[in-house]
Parts: sequence; structure tokens; C-alpha cells
Amino acid sequence: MQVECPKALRILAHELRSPLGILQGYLRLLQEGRVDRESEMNMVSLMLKETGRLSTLARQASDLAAWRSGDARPEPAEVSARSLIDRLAETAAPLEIVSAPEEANQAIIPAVHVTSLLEALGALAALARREMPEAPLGVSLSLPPAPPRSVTISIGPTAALSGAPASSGGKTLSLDSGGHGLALMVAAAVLDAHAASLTTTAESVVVTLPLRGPS
Amino acid sequence: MTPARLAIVDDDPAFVGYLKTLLTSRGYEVASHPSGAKLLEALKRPPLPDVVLLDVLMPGMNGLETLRAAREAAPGLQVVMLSGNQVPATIVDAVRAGAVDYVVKPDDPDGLGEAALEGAIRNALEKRTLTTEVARLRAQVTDEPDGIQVCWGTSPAMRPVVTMVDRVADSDVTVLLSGESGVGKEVIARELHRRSPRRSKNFVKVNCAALPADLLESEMFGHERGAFTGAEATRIGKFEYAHEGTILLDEIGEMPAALQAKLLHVLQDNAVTKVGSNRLVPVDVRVIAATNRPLDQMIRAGQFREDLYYRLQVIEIRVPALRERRSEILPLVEFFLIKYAASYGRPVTRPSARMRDALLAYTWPGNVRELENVVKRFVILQDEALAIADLERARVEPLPAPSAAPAAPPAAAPSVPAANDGSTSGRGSSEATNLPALARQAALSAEREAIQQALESFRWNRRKAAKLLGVSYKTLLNKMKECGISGSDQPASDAH
Repeated sequence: MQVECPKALRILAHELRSPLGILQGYLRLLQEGRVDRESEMNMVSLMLKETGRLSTLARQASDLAAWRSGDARPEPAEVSARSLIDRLAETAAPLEIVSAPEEANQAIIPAVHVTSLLEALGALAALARREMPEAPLGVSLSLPPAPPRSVTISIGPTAALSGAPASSGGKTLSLDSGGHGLALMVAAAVLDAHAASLTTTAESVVVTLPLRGPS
Repeated sequence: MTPARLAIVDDDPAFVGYLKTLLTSRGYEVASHPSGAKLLEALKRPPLPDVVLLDVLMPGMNGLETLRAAREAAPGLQVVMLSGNQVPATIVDAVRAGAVDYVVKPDDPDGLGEAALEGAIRNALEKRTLTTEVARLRAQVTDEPDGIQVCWGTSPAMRPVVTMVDRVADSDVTVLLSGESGVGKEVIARELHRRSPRRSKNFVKVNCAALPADLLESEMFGHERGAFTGAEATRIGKFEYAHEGTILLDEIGEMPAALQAKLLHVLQDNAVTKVGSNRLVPVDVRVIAATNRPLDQMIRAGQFREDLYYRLQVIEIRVPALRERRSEILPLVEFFLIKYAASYGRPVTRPSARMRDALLAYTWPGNVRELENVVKRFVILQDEALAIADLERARVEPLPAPSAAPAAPPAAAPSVPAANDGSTSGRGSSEATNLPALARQAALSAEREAIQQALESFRWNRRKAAKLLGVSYKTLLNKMKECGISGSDQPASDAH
């Protein structure tokens, strides 16, 4: 947390700049008074959209602080792995479920904050989509063979998840991608709180969540 | 004027939208690409953007990677890097990779960021213009057959000239070039030759005013041995020398009448007869004639053959004076700077804003030739203060612009001191080198010419002429006396 705090502040500052700059820019254009009524209305809509971005950043900063300080924590709720990726496919559409073996579908993830976990996975899906905008995105579920028992959720291009060779030139996806770093930091904090691990490969983001004891 | 084309490369559609709105409102034509890969695709299709605004942090191919690939695909591309913050290492990398500037994305309430961005775009556009211009001029100076592009012709006044050169260069049609002395008629003649199928053959210039009639005939058509005293050997003339090439008959208006008749036959028969011979020698020559005199008026005055005029004037191209195409002054200065800096081993010292102003303010009565001499002198002496002083002095005491009307020889040399390029003869008398005397002589000559023209325009009605000249009737009479103009034998009528 001590190392993460300055980084989070730096990312927050960086991400605040863009909507603030856009708001200031449109305000100056309006101040010049050289645009017609229709353009004015369009600018106002765009400005409102940017204020929405600012609100999201404020919420993400608050969430990050809450998860890292322990104020937010997983709830004593549980969710099946299949249910989780079904909801992810809905919220982060278009996202195809590429593979979900029956035993993985049945896996129960205990003690989760479902909404936050879904948001975290959604942020990772957004990262994959930005890095590979041309490729249709998918999610797959698997159960690693060795204990401790866990379930793996992989998000990436459907072709890559189906076992096709990587086409990104081997460059690992970066979690420091500009513009959405705070959302990814919150995702990392949520996953940490769920004792999950997060790794990236050339074409996918892999989250491993612990399961309830032997069933 | 075509607006400059900008390309924004950024993965943030909201920022792109704002920047597009801003820059479109500033008169630019703006395209956008969401990634470096998309920009590289776009670079394969013309037209290329004039300036690219490239975000540093982007998913996939980042800004620096995109910059390197884009500069490889289009080496002359001007790229301004955009970033949310200034990271020194990235700035250094970007500049090393060929970025023209590095600008922080606008994010301040006072608009300083926008001003910085607009400044960077302007600089990039200026750099692009200069780079293109220098490459063009270099190609011209080094005389590479495939790289030559003339440095004149960019002004609206020259557009008809350029169009006509484009249309007739590859034909054999005879061309008459008219215009004041020094406007570049020979340059255009050479361009016509260079762009013709005859380009690999000779381009031969004959100055019809430089030689007496008998010598000119021998010079043009050649002579047989013993044709005249001193003709010790048979010699081919310029027409034969120009066989399958192009001949430029400069100052055709000065050609003696007898020679005009002979030239007419040559043009009709495509054959020459040497002095002292009766044998016709076939020649295949494209003829370009040039004059600073109004041949139509000379025909009326019986000084030029009408049939020859119509032979020569199949296509007439009037080359405007430099003062009619001021936008070409600075490009011509740049051209001559590079040319003479290379010739004389001097540095290319570009003129300051003050000197540029002086160059633009001057009327250039001697046209491009005068400008060339001023730049040559500037390159040799490397003394801008002297050049400016000369230009300003010449502007204050202007000489009359050379007229296309038949007139007495110029009374004075161009008022801007010119480096001696061998084209002008020296003057021996102390009066001729006395500037005030020269100025006075030039002023008198100009006044005399203006008064005569005004009087002739109004059939020697002195009242009307005085009104045209903006002086009183009495002043005109005094001036006529001073200039030695006598109206006593004219059909004068001073009625209002």
C-alpha cells in the first residue's frame, strides 16, 4: 500500500487530466462564441459525459482506498464460477464463453463481493479489448489439476483461448495501460482481497480464484 | 487555399472529439486514428497528413513505436507528440526518433496548452514547407534531370505562364516570350527546351542586340571561308549548332531589318544559307524568341516585319515583372542564396525579418536579375546591414520601372548596387559613378518618358496631360523645358 499510494495518485492525476482538459477546452470554445446553437448543445452533451468520467474516477479512488484499507471486504456470499462468467459475459458484452468444462461450471467461489468482483473482471476485459481491438473477445473457465483447489478465468481473444498461436508478437499485456490505470488498480485490489492471483500473457488476462474446500 | 491536413492518433475518443472540434474551428482539416496501426494503414494512401499529432501512451503500438514506424513509412512526416505529462526520457526518445515537438495535452483554464499545441502545429507546418522547398531548390541547383523544378511560377500572376509552358513545352511550336528585362525569359526558354523531346540536344542562345548586323548574320547562319575579310575558315552558325535542339533569339526586336527577312526565310524553309554561300543547309530547330519591346508597336512604326512577327508569335507568353508577383521574391531569394553560397563557398545566411521586409518593399525595376545580383552580393559580402541600406536607399530614390515601350537606353544602372557578374560594362567617367548625378539623370529620364507618353496619349493636349500627371499646367511647361521636350511642331491643342 505504501508503494501503491503514490502510484495510485499519479495514475489518478493522469486520468483526471483528460476529462478536465476536455471540459476546459469546450468551455473556452463556448466562450469564444463562434459556434452555432447545435454545436453548443453537442458540446454541452460531451461536457456532461466528461463530468461522468470524473465521477467514475472519484468512485474508483474511493473504492481503491476502501479495498486497500480493509474497509471493504468480501462478503460471506458465494457464487458458482459459471454464474460469475455468465454475468461477466452480460456486463462486458460482447464476450463469448469459449470453454467451460462441467466440473469448472460446478465450482463454487466462496466469500465474494460479487459486484466488485464483476467490475474487476470487467476492467480486465476492457484492458484486453483496448489492446486487441480487432479480435473478438472471449472468456474461458478451467480447473487447474493440482491443489490447492482453484478456478481459472481467462479473458482474451477467442482464437487465443481456443489454442491458436499468439499473434501479438509476444508482448505481454500491460496493466499500466494509459487512461484506465485506476480501474485496473481497483481490480487488482479487489482480486487481492479475494485471495486471487492475476497474471497477464501476450494475449490474455488470467485470474485464479480459490474455491471452497474439497467437495 | 487548401487547409493544412492534420491527423490525430489517440485512443481516447472523447479527447479526439474535442481536439477535432478545436482544430477544425482553427481552419485545419482533421482526420483521426484510434491506434498507431490505423495511422500506418492510412499512410499507405495519399494524401499524407501535413502534421501528425501522436499520443505517447496508447494500447498496442505505443506512441514512440508508432513514431518510428511512421517516419520509416513517410520520412518527411512531421510528428508532434502529445502526452498527459512531460517525461524527459520520453521527450529525448521522441526527438531522437524524429518528432518535431512534444506537447503536453491541453489541461489548463487559461488555454496555454492549446496555444502551445497550435504553436507546435504551426512550427511543424513551417518546417514541412521549408523542408519541401529546400529539397526542391536543391534539386534545381544540383541540376538533376529528374529533380528539376523551377523556383518560379508559384504566384497567381505567373500561373498563365506556367500553364502555357506546360501546354507547349513538348511541341515544336515557335514561342515568343515578352516582358521586361530581367524577368526570366531565358529561364523560361530553357525550361521549354528542358521539357521538350529536344532536351538531349543543344540549347543555343543568340543575343540579337549584341552584335552589328553583318556579324550577327554570320553568327546566326555561319559563313564560308573568304566570305568576308577575316573569314579564314568556314564556320557553322548558331542555327546549325542548334540542329535538333532549340535556339533562343534574345532581344529579337533589335534585329536589323535585313536580317529579319533572312530569318523569315529560315523559318519558312527550315534551312539556312551561310554567308558567302548559295547552298541551303537543312536545319531542324525549335525557335524561341524573346523581347522586352512591344513588337506590335514596332510593326506600326515600320521597325519590325509583320510577317516575321506572326511567324514567331504562334504562341506568345508574357512574363510578368517581379513586382507583379511579389510572393515569389522570398522563394527566389532562398534559391539564389543556396546557389551562390554553394558557388562561393559561403554559409547560407538567411535574411532577417527586417531584410525580408526590405526585399519585399522594393519595386525591383531590374526584376529577377536585379534580385539575383542583390543576393549574390549579400552572399559574398555577408553584410546584411549594407544590403538593407542599399535596398532602402533605392526605395527612397526609385528608378522608373523599365517600360515595354520603345525607349532610349536606360539612363542609369539599377539603383541597388549589384555584384559585377560580367553582364554590365564598367563606367569610366566620374559623373557616371557619382550617385546623386546618376539619380538626377535617371529622374530626368523617367520624367521625360512619362511626360512624352502623357502628351502622346492626349494628342499633345498639355492641360489634359498635366492633369494625368498630377501637376499644374505651368509645372508641366517648366518640366517640358527642363527635359528638352518641345511641343512647337506638334498639333497641340490645350483646350479643356
